[in-house]
Amino acid sequence: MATIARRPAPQPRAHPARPSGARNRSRGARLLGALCGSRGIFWQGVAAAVALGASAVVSLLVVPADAAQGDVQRLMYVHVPAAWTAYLSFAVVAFASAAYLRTGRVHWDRLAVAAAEAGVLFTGLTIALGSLWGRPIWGAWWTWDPRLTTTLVLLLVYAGYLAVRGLPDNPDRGARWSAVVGLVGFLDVPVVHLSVVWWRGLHQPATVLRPGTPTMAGSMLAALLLAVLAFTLLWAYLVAARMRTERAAQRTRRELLSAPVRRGVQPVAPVADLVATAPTPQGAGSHG
Amino acid sequence: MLATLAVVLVTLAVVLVRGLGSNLVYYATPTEVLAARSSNAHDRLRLGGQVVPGTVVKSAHGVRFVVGDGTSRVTVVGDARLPTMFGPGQGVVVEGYLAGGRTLHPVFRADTVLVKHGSDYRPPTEAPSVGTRRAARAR
Repeated sequence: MATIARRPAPQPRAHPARPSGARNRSRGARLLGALCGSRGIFWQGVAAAVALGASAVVSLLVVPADAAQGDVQRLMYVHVPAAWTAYLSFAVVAFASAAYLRTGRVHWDRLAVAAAEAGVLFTGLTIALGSLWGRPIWGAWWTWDPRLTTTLVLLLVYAGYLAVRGLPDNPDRGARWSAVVGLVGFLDVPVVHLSVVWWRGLHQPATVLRPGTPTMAGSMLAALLLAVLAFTLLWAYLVAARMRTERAAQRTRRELLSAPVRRGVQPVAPVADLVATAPTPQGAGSHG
Repeated sequence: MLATLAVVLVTLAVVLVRGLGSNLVYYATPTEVLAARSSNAHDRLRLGGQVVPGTVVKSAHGVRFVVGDGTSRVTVVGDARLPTMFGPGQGVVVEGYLAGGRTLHPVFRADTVLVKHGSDYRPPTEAPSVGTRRAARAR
C-alpha cells in the first residue's frame, strides 16, 4: 500500500472541472460518452428488455429441458449468463483500471467502478442461482468445491475493491488504490474458470467455453447464447446508467471541494490551535 | 469504510482457509481412501466415485450402496437424503467417515450424499413433448 501511496498522482490531461471538449477526447471516450448519454442509456434499456423477454420465452417454453435433470436445468439460462457477465465485468474493471492508472482520466475510473458494482451484483446472482440449482440436483445449497470457493473469493475481492475506494479522504487516491485491486483481482477470473480443470470438485466442467465442441444440444446452445446476449445488454445498460450517476456524484464532489470556503476547515482551524494538546486529534475518523 | 474493508478481509481469510485449506482435493477416490485407511480413521472425508450398478439397497434404515472408481470399491451406508438424480452408474460424492478402517472391508458411514453430474446437456431422445419430459424425469 505504501508504494502505491507514494506514486506520483496521475495528472488529468483535461481540466479537472470540465473534462469534456471534443478536441482532446479519445475515440474510446467518445464512444463511452455516446453510450452514457440519456438517449444511449434509454435505447440500451429497451434492447435489454426486449432481449430478456425473448430469452425468457425461448428458455422456458421453446427449448426442451435436459433429459436427465428435467426443468431444473432451465436455471442454466440465467446461471451461466450471470457468470459470463461477472467475468465480463471484471475484465472491464481490469482494463479500465489499467487505463486510469496510465492516463489518470476520470472516465476510466467511472467505467471501472460501474463495472465493479455490476460484477458484484452478477457474481452474487451467479452464486444464488447456482445454489437454487445445486439443492435439487447435487443435494446441497452450498459445498466447499473449488469452483464455488473461488467464485466466492471473486465476490469478496470486488466487494473489497468497492470498500477500498472510500478509504482515503482523497477520492483520486481512492480511485488509484481500487484500480490496483481491480488489476490484481482479475487474476482470480482465470482461476475460477479453470478451477474445474485444475482441481477435483463437485461442479461439472465447462460445457461451452472449453477446447473442442460444446457438449450440448444445438437448440440448447442457441437458447444459451440468446440468454448471454440478453444479460450482456442488461449489463451494458446498468453500467452506462451507473457511470452517469457517478459522473454527477464526481461533479458535485468537485464543486463542493473547490468552493471558496472549504467546508469544515475554516471554523475548525482556530479551535484546533487552541486545543492542540487535546486528546482527540483532527482526522480521528481514520481510526474507523 | 474501514470497517467494511475489515469485514471483507476477514471473510476473505475465512473463505480461503475454509475453502482452499484442505479442499484442493475435494474428494478422495475409493483407491485413495483404502490406501490411507489406517491413518484416516475418524477423519471426516469426502469419497467420490460411481455408484456400482446393482448394489443400491434401500431400506427403512437408510441406503446401502457401493462406490467404485474402476479399481477399488467402498461400501457406503447412511440415511442421508438422496438427490433425485441418485442412481446406479451415477457419479456421487459422499461425506462422512470410514468405520472399521483397519478391517478388511471397511464401511463408509455417510451423512451427506451429493450427485456429481456431467457437463452434457441433451433433450430427451424422443420428440420433446411434455409427456416424454415427465417420463425422463421420473426415470
